[in-house]
Amino acid sequence: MKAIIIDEPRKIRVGNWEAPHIAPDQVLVETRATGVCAGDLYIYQGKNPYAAYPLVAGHEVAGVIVEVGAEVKGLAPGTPVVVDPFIGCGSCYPCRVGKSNCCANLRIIGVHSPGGFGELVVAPARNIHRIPPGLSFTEASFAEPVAIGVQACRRGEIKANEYVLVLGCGPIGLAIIEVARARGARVVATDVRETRMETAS
Amino acid sequence: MKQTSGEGAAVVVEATGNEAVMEQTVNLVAAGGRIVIVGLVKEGTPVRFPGLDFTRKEMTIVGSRASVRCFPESLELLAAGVIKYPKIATTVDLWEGPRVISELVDEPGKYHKLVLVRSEA
Repeated sequence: MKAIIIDEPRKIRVGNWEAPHIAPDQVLVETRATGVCAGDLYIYQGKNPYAAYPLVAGHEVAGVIVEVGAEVKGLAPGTPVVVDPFIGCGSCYPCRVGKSNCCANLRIIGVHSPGGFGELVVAPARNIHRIPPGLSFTEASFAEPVAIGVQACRRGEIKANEYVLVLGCGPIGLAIIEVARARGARVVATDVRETRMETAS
Repeated sequence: MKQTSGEGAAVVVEATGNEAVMEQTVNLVAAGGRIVIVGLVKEGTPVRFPGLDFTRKEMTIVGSRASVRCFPESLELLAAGVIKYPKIATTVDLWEGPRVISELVDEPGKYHKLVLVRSEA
């Protein structure tokens, strides 16, 4: 398949990557829109200690199902979906208590396996979510960063009318601000960069 | 502080990853409030909190890593149109990725948020 390949830090090109195959519990997704996250830039810069080069990055993936494994139920080719890139092992302590995001053997699509900077992405069926009607692929690719905002608001138990101070208006700060506002919180935000403050307001 | 009559915020969310900012959270949160740490400091970087505040303020300090089981709610919020974040996206053809990614590293403010799209698909 065609993919953006990062061969080593600061070396990036469009090239050919081995076509992926799916296991019985997996789904093959053809990418349509993939967000670029600071994490992708860290991989490009050689700042992610878990990155093993060469690799295909991109973990904010929206696309269309092209193939489903034999054991997969309820998902069919042609369905527009987004991919939750975090894959827990299911057996370590954090996985057993429902915190697979902190899995001791965490695997991330776009770090440990090819991500959305290529034509095709393989994911376990449980990591696949249907895109609701009316959302474009570009909009849907925001599901991952907005989910980080949802997680932060859940962890902070943010409720309506509470004063919430968000320090930092980068991409993740913005997602948190918007989810907190959607919950009816009174949000005040700060950043050292004025352009970011303008975007946040 | 003014808006809360000096009480401090019910919730302070740290999203900078700067240790000096992280250390301020304890001064900004109301007694009995919550601090959520989302930003990442560099490996091994210590963050110092005045120890007496742990009991005096009895605040809850939690970390928040990526997300778990948050995609359905995230997609609902996006579909409801209450999240305007995608409006700041700059879309570029996927195969232009190598060029725009290196540009973004050399000039961090160039795009608020970049999305690579398959124009040919």
